Amino acid sequence: MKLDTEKRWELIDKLARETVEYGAEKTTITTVLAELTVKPLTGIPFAVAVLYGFWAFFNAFAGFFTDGFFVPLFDEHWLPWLQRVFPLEGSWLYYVFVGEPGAQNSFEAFGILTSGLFVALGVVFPAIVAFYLVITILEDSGYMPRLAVLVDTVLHKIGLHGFAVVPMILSLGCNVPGVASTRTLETKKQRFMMMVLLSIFIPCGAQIGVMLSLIPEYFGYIMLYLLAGFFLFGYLLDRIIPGKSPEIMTDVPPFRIPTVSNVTRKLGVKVKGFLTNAIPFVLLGVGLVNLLYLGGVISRLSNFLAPVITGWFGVPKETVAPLIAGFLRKDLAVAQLTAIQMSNFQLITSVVLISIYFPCIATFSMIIKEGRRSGGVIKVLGGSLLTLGAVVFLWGGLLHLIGILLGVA
Amino acid sequence: MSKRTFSSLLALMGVLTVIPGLLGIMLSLTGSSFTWGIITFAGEFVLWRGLILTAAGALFLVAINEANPVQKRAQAVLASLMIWIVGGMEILSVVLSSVPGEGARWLTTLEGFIASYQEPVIPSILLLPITLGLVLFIYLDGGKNEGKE
Repeated sequence: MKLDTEKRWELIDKLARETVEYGAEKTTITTVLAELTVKPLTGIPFAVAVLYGFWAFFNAFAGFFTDGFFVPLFDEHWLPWLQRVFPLEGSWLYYVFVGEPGAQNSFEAFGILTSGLFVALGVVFPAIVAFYLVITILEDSGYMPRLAVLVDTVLHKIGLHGFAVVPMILSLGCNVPGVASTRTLETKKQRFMMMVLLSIFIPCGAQIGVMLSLIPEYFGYIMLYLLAGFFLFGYLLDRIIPGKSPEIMTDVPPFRIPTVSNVTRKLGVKVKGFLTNAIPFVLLGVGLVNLLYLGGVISRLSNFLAPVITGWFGVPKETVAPLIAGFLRKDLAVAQLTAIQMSNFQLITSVVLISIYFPCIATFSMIIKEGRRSGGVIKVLGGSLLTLGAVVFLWGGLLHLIGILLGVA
Repeated sequence: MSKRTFSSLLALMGVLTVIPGLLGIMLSLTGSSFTWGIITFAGEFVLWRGLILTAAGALFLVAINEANPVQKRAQAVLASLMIWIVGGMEILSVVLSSVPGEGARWLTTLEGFIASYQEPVIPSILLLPITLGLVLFIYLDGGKNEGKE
């Protein structure tokens, strides 16, 4: 038996009348508060306050550990000790593991055991713990679905729905779980769009941690430019890619106080994942870039790509080395940028380029894996690379143009 | 507490919150900072703090005309929560930055530690105890009538 929509609703009404009992609704401050957080007029200012709290916590927590303890540990104790005891000063082995012999701090040394360990443990680790702690509390308190309802209207403009905010926020921690969580989206079109947009425009927590630590004054501008790109290219992709963007219905749970045991358990799982997956990549990245430097590959690549890097994007040709390192770890690449002599605007452009030019290797692998579910690996990967190429040249070039017009590039 | 007294309290809270909020926005847009007595408008995120305080103050003021008492109280609680987020994060930041020392010194000196807690402070820290009292009152007094409206 096939019923049309009207008959189906009539049947639903009839079943509901016969089976559902309605009691008197009890209005409490908590229930009204729950409603207020999903109404745009009150919900948006509250969401701004929550996001402010998020970043303020991130800053305070990561700053406490990085500047307060890891910087003195690495710069005053670890680096001088390593420079004293590591044999074969001046050899390639010393250069790869310890870095520049006369370096004064762990950022400038750029060896596997100096900058590699410092970036991974001293900068990124506290940032990741802070990020996942807040995310877990927001998830367990029931605020996350409310945020999804709030941003639903905005995300509909680019063919997504409110729950796309979950992969977005997860990607702010790490793009890998962000891309994995796109499988909760309804259609292949939505999954593809989200994977591409996340891997290009959403910087991971590690990268954000390094940006906040090294260039906090430009962080807001960089995020604003990336977010503008997310929505503009999302809008264009929605128009170009065939497929549907259906409406969804979602259950918004009541507010709950998160339990300490649940939060610590979830935090433990997420942090363990970071320690086992990310740290080897950071160390490998430093080692690889150092070997490429020693072999003269970076110098040759810089000269080869100089016309595009300096002419189109307006950044120094030395940016090629961080761009290569960025394929392994973007946080590491941003850290490398600060050692290159360039203007403030060039630094902003370089950080944007590192974010948008290519996803890191871990995200890239996840796109290949998830591509199977979203229309086939070749189709997804081909589409992603095509979009990536277009975005890098258009969005990176546009930033250079803005700089020229403002007289700062 | 009578409806009129409660509304007057909300009006007072609204004004006390909106004024520093707007001042914070104006100062951040002009790129300047300002300190008056124990209150300061300086540091990172002045604009964001200003925007949040202005929105919280507006919520207090809008709640005055709200006919439904539960709705009225909930709006005041939401505004207070926004102030707590700003004030709470500032306190956390002050506490965490008061512990480490400088250079090779791991922990700060006792003088340095105490100096970290000296005024001036941002407005939301001063509003924090007032809103704590307000929310406590709302739950103790208003809770008696919950569900009856």
